[in-house]
Amino acid sequence: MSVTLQLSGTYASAIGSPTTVGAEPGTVAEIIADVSRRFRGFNDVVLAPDGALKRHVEFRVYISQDSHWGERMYGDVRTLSIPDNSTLWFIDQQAGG
Amino acid sequence: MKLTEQLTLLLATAFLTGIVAPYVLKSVDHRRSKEQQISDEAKARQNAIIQAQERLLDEIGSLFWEIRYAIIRLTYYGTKVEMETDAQARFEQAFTDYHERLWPLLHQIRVRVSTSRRLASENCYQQLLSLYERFIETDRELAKAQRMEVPQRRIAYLDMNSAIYHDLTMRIDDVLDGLACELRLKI
Repeated sequence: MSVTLQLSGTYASAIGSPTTVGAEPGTVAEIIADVSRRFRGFNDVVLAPDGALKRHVEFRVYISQDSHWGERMYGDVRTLSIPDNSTLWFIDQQAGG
Repeated sequence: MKLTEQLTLLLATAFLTGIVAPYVLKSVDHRRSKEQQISDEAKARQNAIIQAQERLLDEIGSLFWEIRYAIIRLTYYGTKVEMETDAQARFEQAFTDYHERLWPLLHQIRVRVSTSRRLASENCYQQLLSLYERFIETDRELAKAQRMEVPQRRIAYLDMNSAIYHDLTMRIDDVLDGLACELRLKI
């Protein structure tokens, strides 16, 4: 019973973690809290003070469905429940213009 | 009518038409000319004020965008140091360019903020001053980020990058729009 987090190199290096991290299923907020206990500062890296994802976080969830993967993108993910075997991507986005 | 009466009337008429009437007409002309001169001077002064307001809006807008792009360029490459080839060199160039331009830009912006107090309302002046202070605050944040280790610095630059791209950009537009509205320079 687990989910997988795929972190961009920028996020992973900031918290001293590998780019692939496992966590227990739950809401996104719970998963982030779980990872933050093992890799200090992860919540500060990806969450704004109000608990929403920071705007530079491109967040995607790939949910395993037989052999298919569904891709979903969300804005506010605090209460979003992530099923077992899902993969969560946290990718940093910069604005160049 | 007696001759004396006729002569008196003739002299009176001659006096009125030859001396009084031209004097009155000249006085009226002089007054009109004076009024015209005052009106022309007021119009010229008004035109000069409008031109100065137009210049202020153009110049301060250009300066705001110049410093904004210098900052976002620095944060953009700052997020990529050690993550992409050539990112370090691009970051160093952006860092040098930003610090070379910072003082002249802040100086030019502050001068125009001061000018706005004479050419716009107190409210507009305060809005522009507040935006100027936001750039000072951003410079402090950049300096703070620069003292961090590279991995944490990249996150600090990411935070600043998105704040500038979303919030500061909109704020510049809003402040300039408010100034243009007040100066009646908006269609």
